[in-house]
Amino acid sequence: MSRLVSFTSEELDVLKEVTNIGMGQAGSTLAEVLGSFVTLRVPEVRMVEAGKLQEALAPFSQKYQAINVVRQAFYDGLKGESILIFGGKSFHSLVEVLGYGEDDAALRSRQREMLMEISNAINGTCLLGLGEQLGFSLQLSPPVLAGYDQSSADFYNIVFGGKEIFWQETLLLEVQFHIQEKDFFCEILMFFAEESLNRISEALAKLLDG
Amino acid sequence: MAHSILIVDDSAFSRRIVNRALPADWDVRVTEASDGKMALDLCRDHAFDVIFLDLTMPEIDGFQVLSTLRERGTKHKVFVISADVQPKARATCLELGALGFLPKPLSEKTLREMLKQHGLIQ
Repeated sequence: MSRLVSFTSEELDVLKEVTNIGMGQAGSTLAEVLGSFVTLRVPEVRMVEAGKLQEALAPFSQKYQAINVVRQAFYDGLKGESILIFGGKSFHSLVEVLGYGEDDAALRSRQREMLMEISNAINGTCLLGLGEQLGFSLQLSPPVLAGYDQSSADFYNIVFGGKEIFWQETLLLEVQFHIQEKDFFCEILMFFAEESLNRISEALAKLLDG
Repeated sequence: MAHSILIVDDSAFSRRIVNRALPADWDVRVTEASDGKMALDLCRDHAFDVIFLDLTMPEIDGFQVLSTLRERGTKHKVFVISADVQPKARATCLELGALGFLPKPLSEKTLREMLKQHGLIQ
């Protein structure tokens, strides 16, 4: 199958670096929220074909015991969706990590709100930071809780189960945050719509020429 | 006499940004390293006047480079340039012997001010 958009190795390097900047800003937000040092990892950047999506996401089904998943769409300039995964522990442990009180933890509705508040803060910082580097002012839709205290084996179904995939390929950016002292992981997968790939390519070329 | 500079970053684009941000009137000879191991190998053989060091790199990150240089007792002037802008990251770099911390995206003006502050340029 021919690629709709091909990124050169130099463009992918630039993309990794601008993602790194967005990730760094989000990591700082997360550090402030959790009161802990966040270990950052070099972002991953790759093109994924629709037919290989399940294979590409397979590692997530084995990584954690339990996951909570929040989805958030972005638009205006670039279009796509961000999937935020809190992994490693059950939600009750997450509440402890997040430092919320017992009363907050008790109500399921409040639990979900907490997940989405934090997701919005981290996701927003990362995406807006990345968008700014590329020259786009992104808008974010409200976050949606897609998976709550579920087995990570269900990850693909949580995100894509039952949905027809209309695109041929997507650009996938992955960033990871780790708080070692609390055994807490948070990952963001950013999927960019096909219609945005040319705009991204142009923005990267501009940065390279700059 | 030209200052010997080492730029350490796993991104070629980022190394280019640092290169371009160096003051035009600063007499320098620049070497680049694309990872922490290469940087440490180069530092073993060469006494660089100034090192610009990224933090988030695969295998050996910037913190480990700083730590190893400190263990070796070498007196490189290290400035960290990183997107990891957590206060704790900055504090740790300074504790490990870095002279300064510059956030990404790098500002030419901020870099110039820092070099001036440390007597490396007029």
